[in-house]
Amino acid sequence: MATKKFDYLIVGNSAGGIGCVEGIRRAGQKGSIAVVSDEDCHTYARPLITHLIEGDVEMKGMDFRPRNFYGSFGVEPFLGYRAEGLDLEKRSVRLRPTNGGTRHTLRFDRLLIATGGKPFIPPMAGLDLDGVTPMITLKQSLDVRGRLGRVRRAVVLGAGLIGTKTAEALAHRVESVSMVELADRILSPVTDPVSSAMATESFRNNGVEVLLNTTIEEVRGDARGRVKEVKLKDGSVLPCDLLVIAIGVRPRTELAEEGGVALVSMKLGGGIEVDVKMRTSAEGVYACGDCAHAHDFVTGGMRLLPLWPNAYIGGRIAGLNMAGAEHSHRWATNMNSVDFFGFPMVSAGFTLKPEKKGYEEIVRHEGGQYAKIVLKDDVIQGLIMAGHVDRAGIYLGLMREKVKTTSFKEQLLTDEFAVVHLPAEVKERIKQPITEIE
Amino acid sequence: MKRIYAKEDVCIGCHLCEIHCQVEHSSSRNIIKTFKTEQPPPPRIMVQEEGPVSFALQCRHCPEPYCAYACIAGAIYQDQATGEVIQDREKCIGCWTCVLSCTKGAIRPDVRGPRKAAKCDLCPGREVPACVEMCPNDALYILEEDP
Repeated sequence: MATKKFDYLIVGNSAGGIGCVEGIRRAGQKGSIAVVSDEDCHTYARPLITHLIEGDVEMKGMDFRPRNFYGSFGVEPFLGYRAEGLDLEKRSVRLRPTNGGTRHTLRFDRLLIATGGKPFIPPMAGLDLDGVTPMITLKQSLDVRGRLGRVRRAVVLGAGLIGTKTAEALAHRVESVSMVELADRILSPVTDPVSSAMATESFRNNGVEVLLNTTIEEVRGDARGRVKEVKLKDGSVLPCDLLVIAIGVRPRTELAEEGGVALVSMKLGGGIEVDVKMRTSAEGVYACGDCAHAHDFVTGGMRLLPLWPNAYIGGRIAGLNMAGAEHSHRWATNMNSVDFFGFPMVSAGFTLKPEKKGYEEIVRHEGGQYAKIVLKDDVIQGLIMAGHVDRAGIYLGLMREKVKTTSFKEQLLTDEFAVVHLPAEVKERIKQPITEIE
Repeated sequence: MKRIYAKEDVCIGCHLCEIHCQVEHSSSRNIIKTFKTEQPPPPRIMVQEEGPVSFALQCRHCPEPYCAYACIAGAIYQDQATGEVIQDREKCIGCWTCVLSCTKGAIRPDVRGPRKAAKCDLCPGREVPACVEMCPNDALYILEEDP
């Protein structure tokens, strides 16, 4: 067992961890950095794991950063080690090899916890059968990819971002795909009924069966322990030889808990408590990404936002601050962008108009194109664009800067709406490059 | 680094910068073929007009590039030497997260084949970017700025 000391210890090798490395170096700090992950592989673009199944991305396309990343950023990687036993007195963690190898103890000056999320697995019999899997790691994606030749019928439980992207990928590769969702529409947290129905149509047009208002009650296997069929709440039975469980992720907070780092209440999702500087309750310990809370610039409150850009920017800002700078992470909200079978859709902030005074929504729906903006006292609070996404970022910028749209509200949803329609002072600012992170 | 700016007082909104951007990023790089026999790529510069005001806007190559920070594929990065914000089109999967992240609306979907985002690349291989060189009014100009 070896003990090593690092100036910066980062637990997590995904968006948040990489953002932190880049933030530390951007701040000009040359101190030693270690990156730890229980996944034994180079940093990869996690949201692309379903594309690996679809086949439009190969292993080379999975690299989130070039292969020389750790070397060129002066990082010592510990890949294939689970970090545990966080001790804030000794300022150390123990590393347990997940795949053989020696144990280590790492001591640190500053720590980032970017341990991500873990799949929520419902209490249900049969989930240990062969052919049943969550979909959040490269390994799970490669496993599904490896068994595609033996899969004719697939069922996906859950129609959130992971479930829908998994169903899309499988539709390209297997004979039949059914997506089962308990809510009355797919992607409910990031859509409204209209945009969700449009997305559902693109699934159905591409042969995916979309089953709403129902869930799986029982998973049954054959004599050899392989998944054979699922029984739904309404009693119907779907034969399948692959079942992907994608009903959500929960913050992975075990390491933080061991060290006594404060969590928010389970009622608020139970992630690690942080401030806008990404500091936790413990001195010199930071957290970001799916395991932690984040500031939502629309609501002004802190919440779970398990989204890739939030993890990266949170990690980058944590890194800058760990290196002595003073920045705040105010770039996150419930923002999503996806494309299903060539049908693009983005949303941000409120996707449904809150039933409160002062809120209104403006809508344009023509043919296959839909756009909706939620306003409060003429300030944009929410956006949905489906079927077309051109210039969506302009709305997001106005939303983030809380620009009053009163003088150009009529033009907001026109085809030509662009920077030129903004009030002179806003227009001149937006035309300039962004030179500072907040 | 090179950064392209527009002069509102001489831009007449003729859209030739868009045309020449499309030609430059087409497979033939021939203006007639681009528009007559090929499917032209989307322009990576956009002329915007409102009454007498018009100007062209393209990627600002922001020193703090949120498009790169948001990219889920690791397909957008800042060149450490030049400061240019570069897109690796091979890696792009067309998820449109950058389209949603660019507050200038300067990244747009290219849906001709496999879906890819399209943004200004400052015309690699050209001394002067096509939009700047071809503008009949010299309404686009280059400033050499610190990254």
